[in-house]
Amino acid sequence: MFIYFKLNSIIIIYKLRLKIMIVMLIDRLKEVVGEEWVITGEDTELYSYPAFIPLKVNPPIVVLPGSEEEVIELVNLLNENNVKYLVRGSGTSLSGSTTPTQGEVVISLTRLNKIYSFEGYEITVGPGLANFMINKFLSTSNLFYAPDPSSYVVSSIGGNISHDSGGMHTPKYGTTFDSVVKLKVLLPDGSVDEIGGSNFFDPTSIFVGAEGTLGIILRATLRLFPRPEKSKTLMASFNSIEDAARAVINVFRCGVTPAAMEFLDKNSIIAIENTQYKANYPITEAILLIELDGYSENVEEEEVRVIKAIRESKGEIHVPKDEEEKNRWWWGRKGAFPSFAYYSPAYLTLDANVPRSTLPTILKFIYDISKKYGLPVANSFHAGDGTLHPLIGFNPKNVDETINAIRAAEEITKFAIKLGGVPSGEHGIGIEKIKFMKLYYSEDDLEIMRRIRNSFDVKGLLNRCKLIPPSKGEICNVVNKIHSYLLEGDI
Amino acid sequence: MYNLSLKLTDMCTHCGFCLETCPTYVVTRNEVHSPRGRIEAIRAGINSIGFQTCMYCRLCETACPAGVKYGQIIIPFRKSDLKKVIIEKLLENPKLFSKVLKYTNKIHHPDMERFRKFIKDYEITEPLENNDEGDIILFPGCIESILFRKTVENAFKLLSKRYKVRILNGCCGLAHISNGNYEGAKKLAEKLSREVNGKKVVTLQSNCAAFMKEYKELFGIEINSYDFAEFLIKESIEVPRINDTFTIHYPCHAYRQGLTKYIKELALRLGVKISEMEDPYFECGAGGDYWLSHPKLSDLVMKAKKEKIDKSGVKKVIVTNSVCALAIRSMGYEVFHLADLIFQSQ
Amino acid sequence: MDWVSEVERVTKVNEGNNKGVVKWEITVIPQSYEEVRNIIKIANERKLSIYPYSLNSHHIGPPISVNIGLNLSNLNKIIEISDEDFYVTAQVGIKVDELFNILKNKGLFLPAYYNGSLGGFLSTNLPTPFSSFYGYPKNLILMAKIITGDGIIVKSGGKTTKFSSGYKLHKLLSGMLGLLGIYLEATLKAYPYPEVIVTAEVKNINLTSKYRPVSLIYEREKEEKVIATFLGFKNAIEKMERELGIKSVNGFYTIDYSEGENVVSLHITRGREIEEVKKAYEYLSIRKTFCIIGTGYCRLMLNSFEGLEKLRSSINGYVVVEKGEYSGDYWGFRSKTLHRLKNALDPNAILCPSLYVT
Repeated sequence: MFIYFKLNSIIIIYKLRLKIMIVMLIDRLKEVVGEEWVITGEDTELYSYPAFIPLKVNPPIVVLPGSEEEVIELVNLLNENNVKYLVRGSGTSLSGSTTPTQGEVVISLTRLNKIYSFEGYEITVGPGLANFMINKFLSTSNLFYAPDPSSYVVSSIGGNISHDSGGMHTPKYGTTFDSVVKLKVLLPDGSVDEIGGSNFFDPTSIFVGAEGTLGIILRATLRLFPRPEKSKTLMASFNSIEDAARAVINVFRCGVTPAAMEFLDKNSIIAIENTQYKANYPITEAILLIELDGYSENVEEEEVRVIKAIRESKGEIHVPKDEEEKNRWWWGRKGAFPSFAYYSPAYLTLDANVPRSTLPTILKFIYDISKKYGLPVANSFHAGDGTLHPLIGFNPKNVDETINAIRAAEEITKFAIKLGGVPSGEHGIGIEKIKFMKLYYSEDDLEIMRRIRNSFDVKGLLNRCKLIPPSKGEICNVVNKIHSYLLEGDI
Repeated sequence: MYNLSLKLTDMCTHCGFCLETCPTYVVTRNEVHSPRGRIEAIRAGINSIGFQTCMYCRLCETACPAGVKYGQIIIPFRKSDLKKVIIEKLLENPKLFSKVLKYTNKIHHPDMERFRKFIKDYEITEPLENNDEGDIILFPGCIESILFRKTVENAFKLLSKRYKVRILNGCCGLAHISNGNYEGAKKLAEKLSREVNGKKVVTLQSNCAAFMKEYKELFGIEINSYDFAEFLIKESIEVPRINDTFTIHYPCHAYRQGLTKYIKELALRLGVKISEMEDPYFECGAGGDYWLSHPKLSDLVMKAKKEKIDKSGVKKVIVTNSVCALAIRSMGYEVFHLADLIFQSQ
Repeated sequence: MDWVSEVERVTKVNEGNNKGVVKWEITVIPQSYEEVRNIIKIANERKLSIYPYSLNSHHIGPPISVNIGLNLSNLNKIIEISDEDFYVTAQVGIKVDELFNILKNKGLFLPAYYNGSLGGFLSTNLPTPFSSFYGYPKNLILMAKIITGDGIIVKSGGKTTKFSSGYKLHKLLSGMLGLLGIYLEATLKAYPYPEVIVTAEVKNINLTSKYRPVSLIYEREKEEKVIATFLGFKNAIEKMERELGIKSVNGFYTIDYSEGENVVSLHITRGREIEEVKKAYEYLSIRKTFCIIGTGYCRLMLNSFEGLEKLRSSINGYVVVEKGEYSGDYWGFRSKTLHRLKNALDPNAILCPSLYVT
């Protein structure tokens, strides 16, 4: 009893000390960035979560630096005072990578949104720049930036790099990784490193997908692709999921690498047709939206073969009657997530990546899970590369329903791993999928990742208790029941 | 009303698609001044400064994938003050407003300094009035009638060729609702409905036209309202060809209501060669009375807008909303209403 | 017991190599990953140095001398080929051209060609005859099993084409020349094999051309030429040939990375290869050059290294000495990130010491 009180009072004193330190810190932070760019008080709650809805944690302070120099000064200041911090872009992480679960100071890099230079096939930008701004800048150029996650109207380049965001064009153009050439990073000890630009000894790879655990991206040089001469869209509708899945494989088998190939299940189609994203899709069991691009003659050859492959898989071909209809179809697909609000405004977005050939198996499993937990589910699938996005609806005001949705997500992710897939294809692990790291990796694998992280973040201040399951000696603050469910427990 | 707002926020999935369309977010990069942030503040019960920094352009609604009705949600959270109440009252009575302006324009006060930055003394006139019963109503809009009298005369001249026009000077209520004064806006809508008595209303303010079209959803009142360009197109009124190059600014609410296609169509029928600016529907920076109440933010937005207009490469801008015209003119451009272009060659 | 005997107890040992750019005292030829681990564990305990290789045909960088030459050529099996999901998993000892042909026979296209082992291909990360579009070897790696400098075998990546589930160790090690860890096996991304692959000399074609070359190589010896590789369907390619008025041959450009005595490479802005290499001609005495347009990589076979430092200070990028005896710094760049990674992955610094000082 006595020990319990003593422990409790130690924790209280520790938290009090922390509060005092933070108050003293605020003045110094204001000196670095200017008073108007330090958010204290109630408004910090607006930074309590990105796009991962189940878990909200109010940070003590939010700082918005306006230059690379200010970021460096901030990190040095936080280091000196042993204050935990994390870095955020546009706040659209679907896995909760930027949810300040450990009471971190949030550094928002949204003001670092310049385009610095454009030379050859490379463009250099700040981390706070929204993805779509690059192609907006390049609108009169014959080059384009390929990675186009559905959040491209808002997601930041820094966030894209930290999660290795994908998008619809990965079958041909790769992920964000394949478009990163150089990085200027701020390491947790306050030193700046410029990396990349050579095939030898280039450590850029470690930062892509590192989810803000190794350092801060201050600047990125990105690779651009030449625009294709022609781009053609086809839609295929199917009476069964198995037929659609077979078609996916047959398209590749006939020698075609599509620029994009998207799958929508019936539930997705119904939702889209009932919202502003209405695209006049046929209401069938599944549709495939296929984009072919390249040299016009080659695209025509590809089209012939794709149509044959679709028909052999018992699919019906639809060709858009004009540019407007084509754009409508793709716009509908981009609306697959937000239109889920038709079933439920709050939903979990999974992104288990599975080998394409296992699509029918996992889809059947997902529909069973939907029945089991009584929650609405719709599936859209980057059929071109195997990323499955089951959306699971839930009521966030109901804690039990929230946990049920998380449980349903867990079962699906586990199954995906069992089928030879990975827990996350593009949304990252964050806090959402941290448990699955123990399922996918061995303890040795995790130990090496911890070693790497610890050699960068020596003091343990940068976005901890995310991405890598805490080791036995590591203490992670658990804020509530949902956090506890996500972080601890068996899988 | 608070409860209704709270209920409406349920549709928001916190996706952030609205961020880069919001002028205050674009110039501050701060979540507090973003639609997503404001909605979250409402949900969390925070009294955020973001509620007052919103320009009420509602461009966020055009980007929202879930169709969140931000414009309705924010109303109960907007604070009014004595200055705003006075301005509202003056807008309702343009003739009084012009007299007051002529008088206060001589005063040395920061607000009047700022006012004079945008408006020259000689421009303040009494509104054009007439006593005709009229078949259609010409509704110039609160400040159009006292700052751009020539435009009103042009519109009246054109419409009088075909119709008997009654000029009705008043306020549509957009300023009121933007300040959170739902009741005030509703009273104005009711008054207008009584006065027009079912006749067609043609307004010279694209944002007023847009707001009048929302009367039904907001107040259950229906008015047969048209934006100027919309009326000319729908009634197939012929216009001369002027053959000159302009760029077009699409007033925010008009864009949201889809009225911009009429503006563009009328410009084309006038033989205008359109040199597009970047993001032609981006907030001009005036924001109703925002340019007076939030001068710093307003200036930042205007700076951003100017960079976008510059990309058109032309100096002449078609603007069918009076405050937008003031803002864009202050950036160094020549502004024209479509009504002005019709009589330009004469 | 002396260290050689201790090593002999865990694996097959042969005579070392005291000729050439890399020298080692004994050669070990492990038959399994377990043996590799045991060798490395001994090296850590006894503070021995290791140089991993399969064919030892493409050493890059300064000459080095180590205790153990780790020959991985016995680990040369193909573990899995999926013609439904388009990937191949193979051990590092297999030869890349063999792998290419085996996959071709199954209708799969690996956009790579290298006259060496898979391990060499991955750890040198040199661009391929398809890199203008398909990227470097690093871009083809989906998953790998690697062993760290202190003997821990880890998996990184996944069989799927997208992976956001942890640090990309499988990609990190590519281009590290064995400095941070050793590849044991890797899963590579494959594409459907095109109906035709053709190559021709072209004029006035660049990467943004509507014909979409997957490779554009600028070659200069006595004269300058540009050689393009296209792939696609026969009818389309034939039409292109008629429109361009070119006569192409089946196949792709052969890169021989063992060619030349004094070899440097330029690492510059993608798309500016030709402009930058012209600068190189002002400072260096160059016998032959080729640049892979769009990769930022140019390979220069020199008559001598004179003028190198002057070029280094005037170029916007790096100049790396890949082959030859150079008295200065072979690499011309440092990285604090690399230093931390070396500490994490090879804490006792047993892998390729003095190859690159972090």
